[in-house]
Amino acid sequence: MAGLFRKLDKMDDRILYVLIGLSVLLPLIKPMQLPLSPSSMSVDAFEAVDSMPAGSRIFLITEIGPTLSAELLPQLVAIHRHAMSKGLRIIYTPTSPVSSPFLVDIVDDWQQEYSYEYGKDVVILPFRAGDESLVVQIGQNFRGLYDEDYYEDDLEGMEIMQGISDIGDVDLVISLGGGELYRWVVRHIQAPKKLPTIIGCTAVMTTFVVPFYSSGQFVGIISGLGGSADYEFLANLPGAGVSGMDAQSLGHVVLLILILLGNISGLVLRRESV
Amino acid sequence: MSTSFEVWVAAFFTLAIFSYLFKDNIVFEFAEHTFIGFSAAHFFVEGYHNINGMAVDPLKEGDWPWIIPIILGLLLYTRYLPKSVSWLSRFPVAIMVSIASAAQIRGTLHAEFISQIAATSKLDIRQPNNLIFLIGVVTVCSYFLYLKRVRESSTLKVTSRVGRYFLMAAFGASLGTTVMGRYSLLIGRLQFLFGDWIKLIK
Repeated sequence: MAGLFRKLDKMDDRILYVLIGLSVLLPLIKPMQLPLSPSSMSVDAFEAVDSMPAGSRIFLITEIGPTLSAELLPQLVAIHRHAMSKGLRIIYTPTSPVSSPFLVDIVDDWQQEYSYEYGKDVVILPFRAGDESLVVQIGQNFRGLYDEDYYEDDLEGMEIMQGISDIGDVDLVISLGGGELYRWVVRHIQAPKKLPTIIGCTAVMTTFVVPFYSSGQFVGIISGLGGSADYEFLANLPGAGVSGMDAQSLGHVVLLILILLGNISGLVLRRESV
Repeated sequence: MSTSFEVWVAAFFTLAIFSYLFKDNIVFEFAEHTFIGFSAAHFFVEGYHNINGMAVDPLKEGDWPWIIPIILGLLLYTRYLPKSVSWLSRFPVAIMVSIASAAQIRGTLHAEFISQIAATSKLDIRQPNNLIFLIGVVTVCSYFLYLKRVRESSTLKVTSRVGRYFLMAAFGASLGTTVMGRYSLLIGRLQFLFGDWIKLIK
């Protein structure tokens, strides 16, 4: 037995990479249709959007970019499709210069399927620099900050912006980010305006965001690829999230086996050397 | 297989970055340097547009107060000049730090401090989860008491040890979600390679 563990101990790292790669790739090529059980955080997020009457306005602020797209893009697509299928309206606001192309693609890609109208059902605001100070400005002087959209068209004439003089006039806030964005939103939009707020975040950020959900400051959380799979499942709109879940599950099983083997091997070899 | 040139370029760079897992090589370095170059160029152009759109254009239209942030921005670069003028860079830094601190303190106190304490005080401790949560909050707080006289008391030794276990559980959960996040990145790239590029995933 100890001989086997010695071999394992000296095994080339690259074999592990291949094992992990295969455990993720195979379920992507041949899905196993493992059952999904959405978390309460995802259910609450879904229900907050689902219970809104048609015509309600969602303010969606995001810092999505190439480094975050693997986790945030499925969330963004799921929310966009769900909202558009229910006749809700979305005001997209990028906080990063690399977010705008993602928003433009989403609005263009699904326009035919849901036949929504740009300017009436959806609008993309232009990128503004400032990070936290931008969110402060959105909380205090939203309309003063934006007078035209991403395409440099006047916002005054757009139906979606009618009746919005302050950020408090929207019905729901959704923040999709992988860094401090959720903190800026809770500090400068959720807390002062008491707006219902949903957070979409990368899996890494979940443990930091959950306390705000537990305290009732956020009505729901969509966490990582698992959160988007939950949302797609609840909305019955399968997409990249659901298709990635089998790979996540099998990948984790392989990783757990490797961790167990590594620990047992370490213990056996340590005992042998004493 | 995809016929899009963009997809082929993206697939090449994805494979080039993955090739590092085998060993460091010239293809990986090429991809790495290209990425850094593109990022730097992208952010330079974005910065240029920001400065133009937010300050220079309004200034040209006669909105003169925008001269103030432009001057402050330029003063930042005085740190590269001799000492006799480099001290001027402290002014914009001081303004940025003070504004950021003011914005954070104002929002943090209410949203992250008072609201969290209020929510914790309202917990129904008849529910086991809430009771565990409350024990976690109290014991973790006790872990961060550094007064020597208090720290040496036998009660605090026990509570701080329990608090340390709660902290370790939290760090463990954080590491677990980090692994999950890294898997999501791998899944995203494989979906691209075998879906968008090779078209093996439907």
